[in-house]
Amino acid sequence: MTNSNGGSAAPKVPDLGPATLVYIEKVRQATRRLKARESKPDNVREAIDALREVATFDVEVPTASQRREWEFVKIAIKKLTSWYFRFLAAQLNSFGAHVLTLGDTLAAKTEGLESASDELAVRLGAAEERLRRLESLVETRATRAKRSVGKEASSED
Amino acid sequence: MRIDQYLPGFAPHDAIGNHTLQTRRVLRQAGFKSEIWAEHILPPLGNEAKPYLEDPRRPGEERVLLYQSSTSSPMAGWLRSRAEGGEPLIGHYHNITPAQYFARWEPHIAAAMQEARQELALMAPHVSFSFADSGFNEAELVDCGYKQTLVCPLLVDLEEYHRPPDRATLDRLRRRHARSGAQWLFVGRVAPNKCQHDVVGAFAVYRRVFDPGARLTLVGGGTSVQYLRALERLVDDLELGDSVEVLNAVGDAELLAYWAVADVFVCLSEHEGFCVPVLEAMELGVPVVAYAAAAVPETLGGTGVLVEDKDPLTVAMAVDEVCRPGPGRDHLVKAGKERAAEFSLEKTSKQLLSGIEAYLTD
Repeated sequence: MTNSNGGSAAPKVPDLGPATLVYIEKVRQATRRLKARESKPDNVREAIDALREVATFDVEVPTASQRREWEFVKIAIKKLTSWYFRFLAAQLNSFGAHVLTLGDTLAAKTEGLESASDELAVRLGAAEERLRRLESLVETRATRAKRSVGKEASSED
Repeated sequence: MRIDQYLPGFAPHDAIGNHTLQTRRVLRQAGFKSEIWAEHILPPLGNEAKPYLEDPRRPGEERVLLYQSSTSSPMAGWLRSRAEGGEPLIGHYHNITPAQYFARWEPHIAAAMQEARQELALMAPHVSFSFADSGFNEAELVDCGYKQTLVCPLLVDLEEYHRPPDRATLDRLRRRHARSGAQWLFVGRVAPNKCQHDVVGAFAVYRRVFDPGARLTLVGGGTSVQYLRALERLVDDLELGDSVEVLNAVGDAELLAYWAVADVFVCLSEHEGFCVPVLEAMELGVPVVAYAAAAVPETLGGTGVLVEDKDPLTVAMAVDEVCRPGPGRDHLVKAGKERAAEFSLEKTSKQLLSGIEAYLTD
């Protein structure tokens, strides 16, 4: 932390009790959840997490307004229409929950397939290495066999 | 000679809109003809600009097109075709918010920001010269292949901030301030890149640890409805009650009243091309605590308190230091005012004009 005097400030760390420390950690986690995320285009889990955040439709429409008369108008409209929007929101929230379940299922399946694919890649790599060693061994033995046939032929001559 | 300006959105209480009006004043005073053409013109600026598609070609008239760029717009392609037709095109780059900040909240806005970045790169071969509000912005232009660039801050009339504040609002806020603790203020659109959620978090810790009577006011129209709702839920989750108020854009006189009672300006934004509210804070003698990111340290120029880490306790401690009366706070206020004077309209107007004249003589 720098201030306009140019040097580093030496902030006094306050003495914090356990309840305050718990609250501060709660604040840290809460603000972390709102942080921007660098999303990768093929990250299924991240896409599902983003969907989860918008999958619930909130019918508690804000009614605050800087002008009191408009606030009353908003409250009145909210009271008149809340039964209708609750009916719609219940169905939309159910739909959203099912979409998320589908998403979680597909993500789990994708992760399983990726894990199996990674395992196969390791096994394939090991098999390729074994094949290379075998090929090298066969070549070495073939070379030795040719040399010993050549020596026998020359010693007979 | 004519130098016309083009911008996608021309709105009141907007830093780029005000800068465009000041630029027109500078150009006209220097003897250039100058008009403003825009894609979207919001009232009450209807008389100040015209729709850009109505801009006629002016064969035989010496003319330069000046693009005030900050977002995606079909105007960019239109200007490229004019440049390809032989009309010199220059720019003033105000920065484009990276798409990642909007991706989870407003995917359609993120897509527009992505498009705007692509447009910026496509414009490079056609823009013979470009201003940038800050060295931070200039570096982005150079990365995109712009050949001739020059830093020139936004033109801001700091004298406007010394007009009388709205009396009724000021009296109400003063009465409230007398009953409460430190008044935190952040001015800026409620947008994910401006990280108002971090300001709320730091404020929550400050109230718990240092000053239970403190209040936070966030002033600025919303860009993201989803982010604003998330912010309101955060205020509830952290049990802050009505100690936090989130206001839409307010009138100038009303805003001055909020500035008048502010004890500290807290900016934890992660992306700013210049940050006019920091300049406002310095001019009005409100000490600044800010996160050291993007162009904010450059605008502050060594004044204010910069935090390298946005941990809520770290920020709360920094604000506590700044809010204590004494020589430390007095020094911050004085240094801020001296820094603000470097961005006086007179100085920045001269900078802009000399940049344009240098371009024209080259």
